[in-house]
Amino acid sequence: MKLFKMKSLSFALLWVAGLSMSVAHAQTNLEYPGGPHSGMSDAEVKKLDAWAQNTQLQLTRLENEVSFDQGESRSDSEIKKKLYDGIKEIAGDSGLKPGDLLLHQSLYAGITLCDIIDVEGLKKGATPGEIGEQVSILKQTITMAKKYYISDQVYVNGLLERRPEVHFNNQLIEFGVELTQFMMKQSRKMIAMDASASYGMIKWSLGVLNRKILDDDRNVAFANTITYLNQKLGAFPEMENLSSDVDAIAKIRDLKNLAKEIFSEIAMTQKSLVQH
Amino acid sequence: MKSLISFLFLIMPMAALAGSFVQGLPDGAYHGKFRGQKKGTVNFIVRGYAGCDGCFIAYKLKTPELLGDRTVDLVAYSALPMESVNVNGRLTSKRYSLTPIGVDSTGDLTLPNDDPSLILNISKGVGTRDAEFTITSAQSGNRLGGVESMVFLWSREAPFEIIQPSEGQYRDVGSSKVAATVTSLKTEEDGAHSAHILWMGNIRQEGGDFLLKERLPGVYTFNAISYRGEGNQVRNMPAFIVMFVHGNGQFCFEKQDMMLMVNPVNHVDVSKMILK
Repeated sequence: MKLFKMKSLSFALLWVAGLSMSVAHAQTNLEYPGGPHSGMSDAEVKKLDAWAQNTQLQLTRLENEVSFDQGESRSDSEIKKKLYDGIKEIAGDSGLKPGDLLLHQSLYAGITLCDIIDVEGLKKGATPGEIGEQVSILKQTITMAKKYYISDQVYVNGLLERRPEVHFNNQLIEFGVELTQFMMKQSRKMIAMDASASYGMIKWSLGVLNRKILDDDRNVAFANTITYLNQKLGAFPEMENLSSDVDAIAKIRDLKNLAKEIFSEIAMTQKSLVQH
Repeated sequence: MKSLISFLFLIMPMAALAGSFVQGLPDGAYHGKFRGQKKGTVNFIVRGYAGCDGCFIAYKLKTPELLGDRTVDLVAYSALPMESVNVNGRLTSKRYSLTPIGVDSTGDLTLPNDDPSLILNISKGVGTRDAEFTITSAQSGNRLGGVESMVFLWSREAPFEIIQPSEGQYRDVGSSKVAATVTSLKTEEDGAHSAHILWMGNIRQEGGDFLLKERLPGVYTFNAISYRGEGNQVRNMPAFIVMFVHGNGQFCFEKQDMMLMVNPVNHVDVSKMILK
């Protein structure tokens, strides 16, 4: 059985290699024996830790500034620019890859999702309210980043103390599920503004979820889910190849159904892991 | 080079529109009855927008005969096409899902439920003002805004037109006293309008300074500005949906510009203020 699961996982890794072409900035190193950062020196881990702590403070400052800007009736365009540039600078300073820390991955998600809306908006002309929607997404991804900073700290401390049992972040799958759920909720309004961007955002978040399940130290137990999700996602067209907004709306329904199916499989696998 | 980019930006939305989807219900107002009810009529006001082909915002307006004089019951819906059919060489849809627009706990505009509450089926005259259609319950469990069946057989002059907000003083109907002052009107890069409002409040709600933002085409949120020692901040409540309309003299919509503030929970608690 275990051999079968290992084979399934290898198959899944091949699928992910293909998928990584469509999931922007997905990591290319697909296997992490001993954890993704187990080879880091103490100095490197301390640098990672310092970046995370500093980022937490910078994000709080940015949130406060934006909150007061809104009270001063600053335009959404100004607020979006401040949030977007601020987050990009913080995330870019780190020298990290998007998957290294969930704090970083959350910030990266906010930037990527805004970019998807901008690209689609340029094609058809923006719908009134789209910039406000980007502000909402950026603010919520900051909230998510601050939340996952806590699990990142446990992980980084585990690396510093050379405790192999915490050489994997234990919130990877939870993060992937939360990001996808967030996108599904956000798409309720976004779909009416720009259906193809909404499609691109949900598809991207499902790709991140798959990546997170694969990066989890229990990925063998999730091999069937990873393979299934890869196969299903591979069958969905790229955002730019959608034939129309009606096509995008229909495919969003299919993506949401797929997400619900995957959430249920993840919950069942997690339950069986706890029981064993 | 700069002019070439400007030219491309100008023609890209036009190119996208060239092969566009035709709305199954053209913009305008449609007149109908609740099934099995002889008294009273219901109006369905349709307004399309760029950004999502075939999508529109719809307003369901019960007439005073159903509600008593000077009472308004107004529900705003996001309407999404459910299919793509070729009718006389044009792509369109005969079926639409209608999902009521509401406000979430952060004071932002949203579709509170992912599932539509109503389904619209066009039986005759698709794509024309002579369309005949029925609206029935989506049987989804979402009952926001009501799920009564309706039959629409003819179009008519809309009781109101959706207009852009105007700066100035607005007064409560039946009173000469100023109820609200709209100032600092701005237009965002995406075409969304925002303004500052000094509102005197009503029996149920405190007055004060408010921020008005267009979140979907023609649909606004209304959030209080809180003046604090450390700076001004935008609060989440109260959660109104605001619309600016010009009445056509029908029902309780006088031939004047007005601001409607709709409670998204019951849709009956509507404050109507006329531009002085």
